[in-house]
Amino acid sequence: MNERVVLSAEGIVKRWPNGRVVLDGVTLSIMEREVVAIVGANGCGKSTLLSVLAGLESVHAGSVRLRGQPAALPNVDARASRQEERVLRAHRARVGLVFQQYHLFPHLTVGANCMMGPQYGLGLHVSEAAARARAALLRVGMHEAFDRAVTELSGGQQQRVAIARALANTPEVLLLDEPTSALDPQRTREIGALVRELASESATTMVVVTHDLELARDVADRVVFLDAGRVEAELPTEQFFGSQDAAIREFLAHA
Amino acid sequence: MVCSAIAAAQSTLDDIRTRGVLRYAIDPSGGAPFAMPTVEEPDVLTGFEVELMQLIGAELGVRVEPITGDWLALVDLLKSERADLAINGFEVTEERALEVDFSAPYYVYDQQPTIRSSDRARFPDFASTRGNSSGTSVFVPVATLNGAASVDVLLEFGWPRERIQEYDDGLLPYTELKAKRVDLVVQDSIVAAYYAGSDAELLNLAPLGKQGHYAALFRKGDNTLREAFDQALARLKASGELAALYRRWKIWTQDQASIGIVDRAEIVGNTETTANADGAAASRAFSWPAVFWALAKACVNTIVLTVVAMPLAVALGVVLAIAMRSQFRRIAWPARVYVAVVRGTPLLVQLYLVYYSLPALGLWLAGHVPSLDAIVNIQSALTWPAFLVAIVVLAGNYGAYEAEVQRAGLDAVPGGQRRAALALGLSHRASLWRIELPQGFRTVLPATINDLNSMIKDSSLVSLIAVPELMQVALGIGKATLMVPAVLVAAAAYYLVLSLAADVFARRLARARGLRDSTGRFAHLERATR
Repeated sequence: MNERVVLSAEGIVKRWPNGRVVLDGVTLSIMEREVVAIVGANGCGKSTLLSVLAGLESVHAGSVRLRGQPAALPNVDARASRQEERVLRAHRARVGLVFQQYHLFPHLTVGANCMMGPQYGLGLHVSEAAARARAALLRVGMHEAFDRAVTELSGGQQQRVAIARALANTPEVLLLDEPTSALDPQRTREIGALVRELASESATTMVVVTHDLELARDVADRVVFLDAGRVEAELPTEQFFGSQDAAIREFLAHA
Repeated sequence: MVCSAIAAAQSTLDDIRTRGVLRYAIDPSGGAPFAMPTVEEPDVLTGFEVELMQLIGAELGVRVEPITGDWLALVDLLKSERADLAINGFEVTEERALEVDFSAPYYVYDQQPTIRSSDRARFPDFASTRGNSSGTSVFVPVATLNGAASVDVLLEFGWPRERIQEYDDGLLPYTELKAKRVDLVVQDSIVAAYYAGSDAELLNLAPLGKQGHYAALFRKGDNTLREAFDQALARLKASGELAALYRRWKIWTQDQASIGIVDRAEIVGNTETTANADGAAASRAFSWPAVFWALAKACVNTIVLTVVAMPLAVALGVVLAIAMRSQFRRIAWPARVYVAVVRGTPLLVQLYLVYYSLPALGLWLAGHVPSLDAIVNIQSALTWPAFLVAIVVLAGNYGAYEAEVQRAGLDAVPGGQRRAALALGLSHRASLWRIELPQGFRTVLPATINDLNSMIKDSSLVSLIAVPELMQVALGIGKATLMVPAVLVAAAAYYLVLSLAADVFARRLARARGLRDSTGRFAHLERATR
């Protein structure tokens, strides 16, 4: 495979306990410095796919690789060995995931939220972790909030901190789950601008799951269209939005 | 079996000589004039039995040390070898003789009926409380001490059992008499003399002529110690010292001559002219500053118990909570069983079992597993000091409650928190300690502060075993000074102060940890202290 592939998934199958298939053999490659938007209707498996890429989900089949190294995804039916857990932890620490609902740690300050990953995920010394946290907060424009409680922040500010927390680990790839869905139009524009900035400015490889087609069109090099747990189309952004494919036109018309 | 008992007996006296200390079991909250805490120094006991033991100690050339416990538990203190003998108004009865050996008698008591002074016309004598002049039976309601010989005497006089009310201490029957819940009290003469003799509202009728003996208790077969005690007692009886002691406590009666106590007038004269030598009067003296100071000193044990046991309880609760939530049944089930059993049984029973059964378990183990005894002296290893037992049992008991509290706290942490922690590369353990537990702990802080408050008060139960704390000292002083309600109110005030102090402390602690709720204020704590 190409040496520029950062993150790849191959034949991912995932079913819910009730038997419903969420991901039905998804294969996907993310190239270095690439920004990929994953779009699709509600319930098509976008967010689950993102969790799988981040190493947070067990799967029924398939594998995820980061720079060619398997992530040792836990299988639904088997218990992971100690060694496998270690590999999986390392994978998670090197992939940054920003949740739709942020999931900031409410008992910690902004700074402490961002130091958590470097300190306890990467095992860095506390001073090094603080430096990483400050640098990450600077990138999202929240460096002045270092000592504030996260519960005092607005929604948009919390989203920025959530992005900074993921960036503090200096991940190989940043995964964003619906970064603008919980925000008002003004904040949506601000976060959109931030994502664009991150994409252009600093060679960040990104995967963005979004409903916001404008954002997708704006930041993505490539669009992955997911339908019923399958990759229906994988096209450069311009081609995707100009596609004559019936399913894509249908999706674009309703979104 | 007999041989080993004798060997053990010989070693008891040898042990005492080696240690230089004779330990006697006694209940300081049982009532005057036997034994009670002194107001000036609650850890120091006074009472005629305490003084008797000091004389015995001097005769044997060893120091004597009281091991305090609830009266009904004194025999267990003796059997578990935490004490060498028990002395606290134990009447010589056949029932007791099955369990323990008696010393020679040291006091002759009679059964003393007491009525209200206002009932003088209604009950001119004891016979009138059983039936009237026309011959019909009356059997007025009567109060007495639980487990005392007076119960048997009353049954002998024909009282139906349902008319006899038994109380756990000697003062309550008189309180009940004054409150007109009963019309008669029958108790050992010595108790009646102390509590009713100086009370104008109460009237002691003529004793019933049902004499009995008080004697010290020894473990079965502990003959050398018992004989040494008896020889020392005999010397005190003959020298007149014992008679002088009894006169000083105003419990001397002519009956005492029947067990060989010699009364020498010259010693008597010396002591009775000295006001200070009146032990009974001295222990009745009451002054609020002295009582408050005594209770303050007793608070120290309560505080130390709580300060040590509560953090242990929270730590145990956290461990149990994590175990209960484990997906492995082998971890989850023992924790659940522990919590169910400990929460479902009274703290009092747990204290009793651990304190009195551990040494017995050690003795049993030493007998059945000799190889183990060669490595470590199991029995002495399991004869934990009372204070350690109190801390372990309090922490173990509250740990079970805290387990449910902390489990609720962990359950209340949203699942996204764990996912976010894992996504950053944290291990499951780091996620638990850094992310989930701190948040769970914050959520359930009000419940934990409730447990802390409740532990401060429950620590009073440990006076059942030999830990003198606030409640025991308060009851002891209250009974000796005949001021039980007032002293209990004072003790309640101390508990209130301790409880408020705990709240302030917890609030400080929470602030220092930077715990904030979603509005950024300390709302949890405000709710907890309301």
